[in-house]
Amino acid sequence: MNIYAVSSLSASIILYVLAIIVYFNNTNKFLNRIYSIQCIVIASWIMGCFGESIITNYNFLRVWDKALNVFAIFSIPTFVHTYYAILGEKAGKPVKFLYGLAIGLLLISFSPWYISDIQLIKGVRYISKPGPLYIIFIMGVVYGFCLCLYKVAKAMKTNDDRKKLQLTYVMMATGSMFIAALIYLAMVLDIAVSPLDNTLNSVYGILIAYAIVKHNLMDIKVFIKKSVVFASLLCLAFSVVVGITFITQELIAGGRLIGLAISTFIIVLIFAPLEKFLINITDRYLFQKKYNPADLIRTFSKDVLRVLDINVLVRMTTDTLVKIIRIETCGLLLRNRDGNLYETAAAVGLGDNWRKIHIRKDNEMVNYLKSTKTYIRITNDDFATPNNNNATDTASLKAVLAIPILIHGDLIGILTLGRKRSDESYSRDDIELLLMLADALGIAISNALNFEDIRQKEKLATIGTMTAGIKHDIGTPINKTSAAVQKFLIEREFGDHKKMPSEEVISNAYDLLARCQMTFEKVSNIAAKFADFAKPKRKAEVERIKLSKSVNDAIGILEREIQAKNITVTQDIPDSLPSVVADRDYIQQILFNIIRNGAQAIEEANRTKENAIIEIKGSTDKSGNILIEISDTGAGISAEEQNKLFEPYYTTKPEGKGTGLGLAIVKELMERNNGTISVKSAKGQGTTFILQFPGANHEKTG
Amino acid sequence: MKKRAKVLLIDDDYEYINGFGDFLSRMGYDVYKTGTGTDGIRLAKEEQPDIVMCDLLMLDINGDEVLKEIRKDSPDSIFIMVSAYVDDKTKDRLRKLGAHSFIEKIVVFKPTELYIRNLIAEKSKK
Repeated sequence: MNIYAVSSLSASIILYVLAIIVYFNNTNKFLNRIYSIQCIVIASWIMGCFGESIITNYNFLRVWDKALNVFAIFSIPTFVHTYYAILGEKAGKPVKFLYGLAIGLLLISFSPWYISDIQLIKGVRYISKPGPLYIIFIMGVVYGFCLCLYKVAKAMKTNDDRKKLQLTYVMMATGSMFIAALIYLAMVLDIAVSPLDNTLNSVYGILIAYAIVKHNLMDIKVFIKKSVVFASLLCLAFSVVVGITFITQELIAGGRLIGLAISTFIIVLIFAPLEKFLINITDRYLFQKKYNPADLIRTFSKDVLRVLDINVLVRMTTDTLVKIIRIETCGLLLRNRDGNLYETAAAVGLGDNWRKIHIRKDNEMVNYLKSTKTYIRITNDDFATPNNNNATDTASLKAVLAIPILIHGDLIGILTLGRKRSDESYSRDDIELLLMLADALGIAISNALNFEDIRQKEKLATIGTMTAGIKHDIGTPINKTSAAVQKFLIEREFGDHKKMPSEEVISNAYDLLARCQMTFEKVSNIAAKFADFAKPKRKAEVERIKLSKSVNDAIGILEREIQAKNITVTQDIPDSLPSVVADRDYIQQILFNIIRNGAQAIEEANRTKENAIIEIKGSTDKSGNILIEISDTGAGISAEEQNKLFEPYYTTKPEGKGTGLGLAIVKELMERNNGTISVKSAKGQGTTFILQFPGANHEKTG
Repeated sequence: MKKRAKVLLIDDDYEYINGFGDFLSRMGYDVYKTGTGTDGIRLAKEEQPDIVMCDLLMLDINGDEVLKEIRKDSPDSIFIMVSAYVDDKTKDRLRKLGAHSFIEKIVVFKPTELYIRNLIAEKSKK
């Protein structure tokens, strides 16, 4: 076996391994599949070349050469197709053309016009001897490479630094393979070149592999464990021992002991600095950057901790931790209603049955966390309690670290974290950060669990700011009727009734009584309307709701306030608008909050009566969703404020005017009704809130 | 009473201004009634009433606008703001604009008439 054979063997092995790794990383992704196919095609072609370097049977090789040409032919379209996939482009005409070309070449490849014979190059390796039609293949190869290089060069004009870096490696790899292909073609055409083609193909494989490991090419994340680095270090040391021992043995008779002594000496001398060097090198070139604590804090404070839905909150917590700290497993346990168990509410990497994992409250770990109120590192035997009837599942949490989630010193949950993918242990800094997050998480969890209470408080707080309006709503009709009653009594006192026929007086008195009764009913209805809005409730109850009625109800509660602010409310909700399946109470609070916000915005902007308008429009969109748009002519919301609008405790209102929870609750209520809320606004021109409910064909209940 | 006292009632609740106005007439006042703020401002200017009783929330313009105008044209009138409910902040603001006092609805005729009579008596002493 010669050195060129070794180069083709190693190149094909590298490409086969690459194909397998990429394929199994995500079997569902087209990019991974096409890349693996391309790798296998090229690797098989190179494997064929390896065969041509070691096999000497001429007749066998003639057949072998024809067979490996099939791979050569199909390497062009798969290669180009892969590049389209890497760049995220649809396989266009060039790809289809190259596939067509490949099929064409396949049909003629067995004729002597394509490949006439085989030839021996430099005495080391056989290769095809081209016929006149072989020029088509050459042109195909050149065209394919030029296309790929052009596409990559074009895509490199991106502002995304990471993408640019990835593409730089792709570009270099493509370049080396292009040169390899040119060398191969030169050999076929019997131009004297050194057969370095397969060495360059190895370079291609190594470059792509490096781009995957270091820069997540094709979104593949490979975690290199420190242990692997140490293992290779050990191998290296061993090879030094063996190598030196062998060499000394060859040179000096009976030199085995001396050889061993020398190699031991060398190892002792170089091992420590070498270890340091290797770790440095791997840290620098192979390990992905250590996670950024700021990222973790930002993601948590911006996205996770603001969630008011407990299920989403716990899932986002575990997902975020696993993603950012790069750990193998993560679990979040919450105390159940009875308080006797800590049940897994969310988990990553704990298998399909993670929901069944729970820990009893008298478990040792729970006791430890309860009494110390701080974290615990778990080693394998710490809480091994095999006779515990499987009620204790500390082991199934696969955790190396447990962090308590406390509210006022009460252990409401436990966060468990598994090993880091890099095999490193948790540092002091990691734990400080996690304890800090757990504190905030405790508050967020308790908020989410008490969402109904918070919603209720917010409702009462808004009603509190509406007392003037309520008193107006009730005082006005009573004042009217009372005036009529007092007028009648005064007339009686002044003797007016004596001058009138008594039937007329009695009839007037009856009319007055009837009016009184009507007023009582009216006032009682108004009181009921507010009481209904204010009443607490524990669980959502979904039913079919006509949105026009809900809008009317909400306007009804706000009537006086709207009137006091001189605002005109227009309503355009077609009768044909489908009803939605939702909780009536939730919908009313949503509409109430948004209409009231609009009214307040108009008041703050000091609009004249003609410009003080709230428009409520109902419609359906193309996909059947039901939209309610509520526009006001207030001062508008800047883009920066719009981003924060739905965050809890964010308010632009002066103190005492809002709880800062209104829109956060509205958003949560919309989500609980399977809807969404969005906002459009231009500073100075007003704001439109868009409520979107799923249409009847894709509605979900629950 | 040498001269009949003039009272201007401004409120979009006709039932109330008719009933209360009728009562005040019987008690010897010259009563002017209107359902709109703009008309109220005109009447105040023309008649220079002793007392103005004005609703805070009306259909055309609100009581505070009426108050501002009347303070300009008839500085001697006593301005009483009538409303179902006025919070303390609004009260402070309206006092600064020149409101004399506040009556909360419902308006009970007899004590209100007594209150007005006292105000006019005090005013004429000065």
